[in-house]
Amino acid sequence: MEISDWIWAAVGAVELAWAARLWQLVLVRSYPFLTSYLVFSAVHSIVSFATYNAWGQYSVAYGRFWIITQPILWVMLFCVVIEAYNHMLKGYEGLQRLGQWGSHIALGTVALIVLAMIVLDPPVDGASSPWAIFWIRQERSVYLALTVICLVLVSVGAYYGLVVSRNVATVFAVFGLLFLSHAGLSVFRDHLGAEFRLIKYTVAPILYILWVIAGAFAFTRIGEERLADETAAAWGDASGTTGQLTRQLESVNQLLLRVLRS
Amino acid sequence: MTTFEILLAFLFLVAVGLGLALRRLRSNGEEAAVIPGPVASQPVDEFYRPMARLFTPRDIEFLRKQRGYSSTMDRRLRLQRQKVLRLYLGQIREDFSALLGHCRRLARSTRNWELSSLAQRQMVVFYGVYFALQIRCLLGSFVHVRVDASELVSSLQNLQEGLRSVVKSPEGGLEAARG
Repeated sequence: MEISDWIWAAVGAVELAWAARLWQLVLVRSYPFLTSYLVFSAVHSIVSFATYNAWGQYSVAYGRFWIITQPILWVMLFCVVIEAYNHMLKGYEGLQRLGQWGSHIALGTVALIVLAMIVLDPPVDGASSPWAIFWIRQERSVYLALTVICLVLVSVGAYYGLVVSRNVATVFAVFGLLFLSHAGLSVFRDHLGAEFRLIKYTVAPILYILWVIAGAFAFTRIGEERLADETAAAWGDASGTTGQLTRQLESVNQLLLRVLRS
Repeated sequence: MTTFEILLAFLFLVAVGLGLALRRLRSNGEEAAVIPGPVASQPVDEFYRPMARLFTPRDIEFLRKQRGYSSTMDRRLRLQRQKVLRLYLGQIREDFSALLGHCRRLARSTRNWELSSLAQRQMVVFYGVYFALQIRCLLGSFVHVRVDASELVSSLQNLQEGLRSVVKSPEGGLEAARG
């Protein structure tokens, strides 16, 4: 087996490991899209590996498989980000409408970036498989769009000072880095051509493995708790010294409870 | 610039933005308790009314009718008024930012979704007018400009009313402040 074969296998393995971690932490129901994506992507990696090895990269079978499954994976990635965003807004009922706007902006961003990239890219004449070329080019647009979506949604949370759980922050950080690295590598691949393609196909999965491992390790049961249950504190109470004292007492109570439990 | 360079620059900016946003998101829990400032309750209409009169043509006409008038005096007046307008704009921006900060904090602890919606709308209106006025202020030293700060003040007032109505009744509507 070559190094590239090991990388394919490792991608599937780490994805399954993160999915197993979610199952172990009883978080599958809380993160259905993340779990579905990890399982689907792991299966996809294994089948891709088998098809690639059996018929080769330029075979019709591998090409068809890639064209059909790749858009599904992209849609799933989008769902994972929106799922994390919904978790971020959970408990903030006053920001629900804003949440809808955020989702619409996200969808609009995807459409806009994909369209802009189609316009910017020169047409390819005499391509043997125009669909394959179209999707390969869309890979760059999709990852660019997903990176921007991540930025927009995280900015909403940062702007409103939302308190998020560590797991949600992990999803944003891991997938943000993943999108960013893929988008960067795709930009270089499209610019440098075939010479960089080999580097991209080695570096991208290695980075992906690193991000997924980081995600699997960072996900914990305690990580589901928010840093401070701010939503419980009524604004009116928090407007004066009484509010501040109440908050201090609440945090002391929480600390005492933790000590008693441990 | 080629597409490649544009995309690289864009990616770099997005990466920096994402890093900063994630860092801020992680430190949100360390924020201090909310204590609304005086701007949340004080009437602002009276305070900011003189802004509209700073570049009124009547003042220039009056100056021109005076004995010993020279074009230097005209220019000096414009420069002085420009400085005053800048001070007003700085102050109103500070007030608006403070109020927006309270709205943001309140929006996350209330069930009323209209407050965040109102705050976003007013923010767009306010900063649109604010930057237009800054440009006019810059032009004010060369040519006569019309300074209409009423929209700026009204968007500040709308935000004030929205904040007040939610503080009075956290579950209530914002009909009075929809403006």
